[in-house]
Amino acid sequence: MVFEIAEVRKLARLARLSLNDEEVKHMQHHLGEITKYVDSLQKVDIEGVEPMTHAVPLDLSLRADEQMPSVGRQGLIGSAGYEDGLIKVPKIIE
Amino acid sequence: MTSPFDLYEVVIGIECHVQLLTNTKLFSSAKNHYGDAPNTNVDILDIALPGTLPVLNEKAVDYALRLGFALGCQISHTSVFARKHYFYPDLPKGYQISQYDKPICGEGRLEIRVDDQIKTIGIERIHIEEDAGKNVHVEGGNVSFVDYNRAGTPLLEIVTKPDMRSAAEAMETFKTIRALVTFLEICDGNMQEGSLRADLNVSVRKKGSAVLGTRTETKNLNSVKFLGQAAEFEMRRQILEIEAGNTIAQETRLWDSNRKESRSLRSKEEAHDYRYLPDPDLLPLTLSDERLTRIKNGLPELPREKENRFRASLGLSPYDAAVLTSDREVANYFESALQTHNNAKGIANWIINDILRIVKVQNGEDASISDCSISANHVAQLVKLIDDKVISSKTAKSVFEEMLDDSNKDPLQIVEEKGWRVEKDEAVLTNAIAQVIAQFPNEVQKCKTGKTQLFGFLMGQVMKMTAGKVDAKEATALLQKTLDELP
Repeated sequence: MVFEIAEVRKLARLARLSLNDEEVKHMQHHLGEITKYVDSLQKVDIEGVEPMTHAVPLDLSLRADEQMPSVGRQGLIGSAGYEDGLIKVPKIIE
Repeated sequence: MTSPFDLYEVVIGIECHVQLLTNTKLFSSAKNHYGDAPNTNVDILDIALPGTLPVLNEKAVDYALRLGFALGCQISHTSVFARKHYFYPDLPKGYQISQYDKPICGEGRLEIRVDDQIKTIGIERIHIEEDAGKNVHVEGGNVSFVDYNRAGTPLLEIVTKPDMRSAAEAMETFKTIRALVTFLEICDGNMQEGSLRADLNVSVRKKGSAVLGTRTETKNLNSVKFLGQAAEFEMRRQILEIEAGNTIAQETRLWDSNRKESRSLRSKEEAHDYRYLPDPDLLPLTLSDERLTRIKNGLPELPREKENRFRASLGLSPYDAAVLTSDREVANYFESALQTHNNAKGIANWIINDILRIVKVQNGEDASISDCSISANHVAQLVKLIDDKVISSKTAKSVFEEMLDDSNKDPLQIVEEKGWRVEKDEAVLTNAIAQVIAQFPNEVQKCKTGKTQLFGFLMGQVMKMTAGKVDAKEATALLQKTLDELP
């Protein structure tokens, strides 16, 4: 499958990546190679095969609903701007 | 001339977000609690520090199953968690863990009652997901703030089929869901705090058309009233647009409860490209038959079952039964009072006419009956005093007023202190009647010769003389008898 330039730009925008023209061309090539590789799977006959969502045949283990100490504010202070117990972020416009 | 509004039919579906009453978050062991100081209930997973992995809270799974069984949903033995991607400061991971093509519960149904008719609303699905943090906006300035206490809170999303045909039906659906989740004890149902909120999908079409119109979604409605207003507003807006020759844009709208109108959220097209994918950090959730059986057998009595029982075995009217089962707290209050004194109708009347009114006066329109200063036990005792003829119904109103002033005193104590006991001594009544007859000979004569309206006057005098402490029924009978026997 061949990727259009516009598709690469859209993907980059969705992933919040800023790519210049050269990088877009580079990614266009690599994404094409990746999908070409995956395309080979399309040739496999999967009639009657259950879709698989995970490679490991295990069940999800569950956690009891018990509270544990959390990092709380102290754990957050180092990682972000902080004011009156709230994390400061660039202004959100809705 | 027919109004254009009569030519159209509205089609409504809702998506309800139900915050679960677990101790901890969906995938981390941080405390799940509303109203704590900002950023105090936060685990390293909730702020997406590198290397952290989600571990599913089994209580959230059990609660999802409770709701699934209560709504008669198809339960998926295997369901899958998916990542829903978007960038926003309240979502540190850059994706929300939700369920997409394999939710835990599939199709089911919900019965609602509108104008005393039962209508069935189809349930499309219920899935488990995590809530985001809370953005705090301030006027002016160039920053916003985020509180991550809510990040990772377990949610169930209930998606209905587009089966509602009026704002009233949508409101009733939301109300019925609220009653259900509170009876199941999986959510506190507190809409003001956002524990229960709804998104509203509305489209309109010409009556008789089988094709669905383009729908809009009004987000984050946190009261039944707002949901109704938003549905009504959107229905009229769409009809007027179509009548003016315009088309309806598929869009997300935001309800402004002050202005009583919604406005379009002009979001970019790609904002809805969520790029769902199965979460590689989480294996498929497989449910054992043992777990399903345990949850199914442990279901409490549901609101509709309770309502039917109140009608059939307690003899309550449809209206009383519906009011008493619209809220778990109210039903508990009623049933707890019944334990003290077994007069369902009497207690129902006091709760519906007095307690539910008073609690709103005391604590505001959205108050819960559990905030009421008068206990269920005391209400029952009051009804018992009336039934045992210790006080008259009229005196009971005064006792009730006293109970409001001092909730520590039980009704009997008030009656004794005030000396409000009905006089059992028949001599008191006989004496009073004799005195009244002696005092008002003219009125007595006129009453006997046909001016029957004077009977009320004489009764009033008897009650006045006995300070209202005699049983009104007995007094009426005895006065009538005495008058009849006079020459």
